Amino acid sequence: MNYLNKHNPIGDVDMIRILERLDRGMTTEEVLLELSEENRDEARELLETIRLLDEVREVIVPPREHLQQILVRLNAPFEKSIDEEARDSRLEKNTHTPKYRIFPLFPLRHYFFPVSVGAIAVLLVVAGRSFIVSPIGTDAVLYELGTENLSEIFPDDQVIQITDKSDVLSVPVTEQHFDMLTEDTTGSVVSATAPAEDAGRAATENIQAPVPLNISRSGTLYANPFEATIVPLTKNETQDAYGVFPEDDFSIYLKTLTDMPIDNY
Amino acid sequence: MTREEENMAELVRKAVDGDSQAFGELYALYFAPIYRYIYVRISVKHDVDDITQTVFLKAWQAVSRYENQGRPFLAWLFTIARNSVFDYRKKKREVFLDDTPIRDESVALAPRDEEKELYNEQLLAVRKALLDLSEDQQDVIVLRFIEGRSYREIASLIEKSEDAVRAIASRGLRELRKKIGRTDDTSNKAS
Repeated sequence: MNYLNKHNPIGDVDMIRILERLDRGMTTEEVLLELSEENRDEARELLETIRLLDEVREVIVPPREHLQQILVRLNAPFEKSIDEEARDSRLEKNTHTPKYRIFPLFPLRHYFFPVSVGAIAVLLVVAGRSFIVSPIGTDAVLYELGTENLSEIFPDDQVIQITDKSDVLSVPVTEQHFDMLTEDTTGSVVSATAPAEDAGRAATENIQAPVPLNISRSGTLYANPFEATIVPLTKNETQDAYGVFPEDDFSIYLKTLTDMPIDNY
Repeated sequence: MTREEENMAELVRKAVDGDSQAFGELYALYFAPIYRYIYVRISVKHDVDDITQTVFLKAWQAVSRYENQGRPFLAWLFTIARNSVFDYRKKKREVFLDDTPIRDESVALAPRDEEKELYNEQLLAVRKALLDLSEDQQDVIVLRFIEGRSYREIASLIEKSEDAVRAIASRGLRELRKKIGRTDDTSNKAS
């Protein structure tokens, strides 16, 4: 009985039936006889294709030497898998990696970046200070007074720089000077505490103390408050024009003040 | 479980335990089908040798993790082979068919000298046509018509139903016939 008695080309179902008959052990001739005449040519080609595939199997013969090689390799035990070898390889690389250390507990590679950045920042700050332009204002003036030579900053003035409270001055002051210095008496009373070494004790005893005194601190003269001992002097012809002191910077400054018109002071 | 299946299970268990001799026996059993499968899928002899060797080396390195889930050991090897072929094809998108006869004995298989050339041409046409089939069709055609595996076994190997395997085999064969016919027509016109 022809199960494919039709003219249509062989479809999936027909092909599966052919294959089932072949699996049951039917010969190609027996299968072809069950087909219609119209389908026999196509079926014959399909069966020929199957035969060629079988021929391909016959001609593909695995090489014997290949088998022998693998068996030899298998007999040599594989001690490590690929993963283990890869891990070992990584470990080996790590052991060969040089470790730069400053000292054993301080591996440089871990701290190199923050340390180097910090060092660069410090260098920039230090270098930058040289180029900082001083700000303009009172603070700047005080800053300059505290750090610079005043006579250089104020070359036109006779400046005495007093930086230490212990440098007690014995100022040769006449009544005129004293009046001038204390003209603006808004400050505290300055008491005579200790005479200068060069001052005579007799002269010290002549102090008309306590004397309200304001030594101006608002200008260029003094950066910090201090106490000064004012020693009024009586003129002594045998020493100098003002008594006990040789003419020093401060005396010159005071003379300048004396000679200066009050409106300019 | 048949006696043969028991022996196979014992062999696999020993191989899993690290017995290289047992793995060697498995290799001897399955080398030929794996080699032929790779040969048909790649058709470049020196690459086939390398990939087959790679498949078994991979299998040996991973055999300790093998778990018997009811599928034959060959299915596991076959999966490794399929993946290896896939990797190879991914690297070499264009496969250059090795035109040389597969073995010298093929000459002896030809019935007569005058038919020898035609015979080799036919085999070459089949191998070329096989490479143009889909992955599934190649797998099923090779396993069914070259390796002679049953549909049930193939279904287990490629994890598809038997009906699906039969359908794939049917379509693959018809596709192959068409391609071989086209190749014949082209070669006839050229000659």
